[in-house]
Amino acid sequence: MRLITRNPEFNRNLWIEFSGQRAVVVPILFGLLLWLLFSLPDPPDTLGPVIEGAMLVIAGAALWLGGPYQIAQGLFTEWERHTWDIQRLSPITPWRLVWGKLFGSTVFVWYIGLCALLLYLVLPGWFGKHQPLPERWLMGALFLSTAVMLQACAFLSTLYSLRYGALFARNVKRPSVTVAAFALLGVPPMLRLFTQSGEILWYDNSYMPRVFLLGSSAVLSLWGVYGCYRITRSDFLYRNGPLPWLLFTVFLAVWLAGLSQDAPVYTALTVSLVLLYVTLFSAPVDTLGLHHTLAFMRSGQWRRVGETLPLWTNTLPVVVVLLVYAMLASPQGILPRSAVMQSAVGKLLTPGFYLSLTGFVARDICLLHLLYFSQRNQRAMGACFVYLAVLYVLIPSIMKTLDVQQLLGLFLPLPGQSLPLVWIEVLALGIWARQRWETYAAVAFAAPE
Amino acid sequence: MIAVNNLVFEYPGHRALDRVSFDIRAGSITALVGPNGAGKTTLLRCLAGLVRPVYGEMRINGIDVLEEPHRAHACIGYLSDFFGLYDDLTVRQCLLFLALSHSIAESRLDSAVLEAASKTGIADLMERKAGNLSRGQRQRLGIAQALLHDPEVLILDEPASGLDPEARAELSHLVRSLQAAGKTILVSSHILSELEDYSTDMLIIDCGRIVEQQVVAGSGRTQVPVVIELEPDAAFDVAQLDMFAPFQRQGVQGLRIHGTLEQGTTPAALLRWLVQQQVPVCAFYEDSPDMQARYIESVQRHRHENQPAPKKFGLSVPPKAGQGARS
Repeated sequence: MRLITRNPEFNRNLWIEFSGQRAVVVPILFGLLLWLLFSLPDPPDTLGPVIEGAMLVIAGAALWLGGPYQIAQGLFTEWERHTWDIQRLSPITPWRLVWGKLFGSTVFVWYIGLCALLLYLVLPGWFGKHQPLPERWLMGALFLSTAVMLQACAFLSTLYSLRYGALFARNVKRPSVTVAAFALLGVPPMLRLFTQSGEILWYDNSYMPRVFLLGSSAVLSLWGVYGCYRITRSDFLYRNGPLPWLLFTVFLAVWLAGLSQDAPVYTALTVSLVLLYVTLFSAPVDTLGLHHTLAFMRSGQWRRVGETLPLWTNTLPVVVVLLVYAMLASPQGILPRSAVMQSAVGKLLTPGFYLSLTGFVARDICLLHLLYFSQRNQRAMGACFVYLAVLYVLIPSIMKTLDVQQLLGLFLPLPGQSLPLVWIEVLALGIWARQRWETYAAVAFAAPE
Repeated sequence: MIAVNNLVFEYPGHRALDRVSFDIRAGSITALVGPNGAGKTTLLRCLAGLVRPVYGEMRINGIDVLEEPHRAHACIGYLSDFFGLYDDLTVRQCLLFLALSHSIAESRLDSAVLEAASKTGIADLMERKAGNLSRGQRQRLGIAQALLHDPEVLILDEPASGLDPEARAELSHLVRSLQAAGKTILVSSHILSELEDYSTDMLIIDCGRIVEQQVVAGSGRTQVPVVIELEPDAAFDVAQLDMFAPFQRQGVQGLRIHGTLEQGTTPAALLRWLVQQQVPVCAFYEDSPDMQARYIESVQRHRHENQPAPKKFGLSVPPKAGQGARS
């Protein structure tokens, strides 16, 4: 048996996904499709755009939907058939496994997608009206970079949900659900950007939408592949430091802030807050990990502390820095104010509001941990969502109905109602969580006699 | 070869392993036995470094599994109770994939694959897909995968579960041949009859605790229990048996004398001495209760001695000062 590469994972996928028959059938099917198009009674000058459109639809379906599906399916099957443990026990490196899986399990859809893109680049030139060649090259490159980005996202989200069994894991575990989510959430905005006219302003520089999207998707796909490597490393019992996630948070905040001309700091703050909440609520609180982190802290092993910290704590410094910056840039702050700050809404964003916002974040963190430090914590995440829904939605709705809106600031971080009273809640929940943790740890992590 | 000390493992709300400690000598076949849910699979997964315990230390061939899991993996061949096979690959591809994963040199790939297949008796199935194999053949392929990198320790989790009698006999033969090749084998099951044939040691686990570790056969035994049955109506003073120093009398039940022979003395030597002394013996045999009897006796004794039942979450011991965690 001939080996194509020395990457076992790539070879394994190649044996399963690719065959001589498949290699022959795909060009034949493309040939038949083209024959069908040529036999249409349309004049030749409309055939170019038709072929362009058809080839892009095929490439999109293969690379954007088929690719993520194949990756999610591959990981799910490994998990289900317990072959993932075999991989973990073998000395294959995480990097070899990631690229072997990313490009191996999708080898057939890449073959289809690349055939379609090749025809898209070559064929329309023979049929009168068509997009100029540089445009087509740009579009082809865009398809490739977005495909890698989406496939890396599928790898990350599937492995993350399989590993942590998060709230939505039961659904995300199903590859078809992952792909449906991608199709609904990812593809429409991408198509809008693909077809957007005009220019995109990013930190006062203007770019063609496709050029901007190409650059962004290329960088994001690099981050995505690196993320796959990191999560695989962690699953393969290698230790991961905290810095890459921190850098990713900074990158995402800075990159998206560039799109907001008026209030980049608020965009960055919103992005970092979203990342904080996503990392906080997408996986159960690892009490054993926390127990180890505290033990490492006590023994002064700070490198190990960094390696065992949960992701949300690596997001926290960015949130804190941006909150402090926003406070200083607020109407009562000491930094120069932007145009937004001088608007009606901006004037309500006082330091008290940011103090209040920080308090709500701290309150939510304390609440989640308090629930997980219970001896019956199997449904802690669900319970936390219920409590948060009551605190953020139900009670404020009742207060609005009863027209006692002046107390809304107790339950929501509202501009103009800066009531840092939430810090009393934080203090109470923090003390309670600490007491619960001591009881919990004494029982769950009791040292052997 | 395998040393486990104070291993504690927690599932949410349930202590699956509670202060588990034991040593397994090199070259032995240790049967890890216990009822369903006793913690056998969890213990084996901990040993393989697949899950992280709360406390404890595990060394395989002197390597700390928690600190250096990848070095430890090089010494371990692990067969999970699901065998972990790629159903879409042929037997050859499955083995080739693992051989490549273990970075076996390209010049040695084919010979390594063939050797593992031959050892496990699946060399004639090389072009069959794993998904089309019988359960017994799948289990053999799983063991072949575990053997590819020539590990010193084999950890087999419920290998005989669901096998027919013929396949179980083949497994028994295979395990003995692996022991003869110098492997240390730890095999779990709750079906004792299948372990009876080849185990040299028995490790009994119940409710996450090690109840007992016994040497059941082979050179590891320090004493051999024997029974001497006397002829009816024969006049014989049992105290005469004390003249044979390696024999220790344990008790007399009617015409049966129970005792043990020290390590190094064979039952044949005692029999020769009995004949020379003209002891009126009508029967003589090793008094080895079967594994099931030993197991039931040990578990019942443990449960009797540990009333109430071993703790679940919430009834644990308080922490001791100065004992830290590890990961």
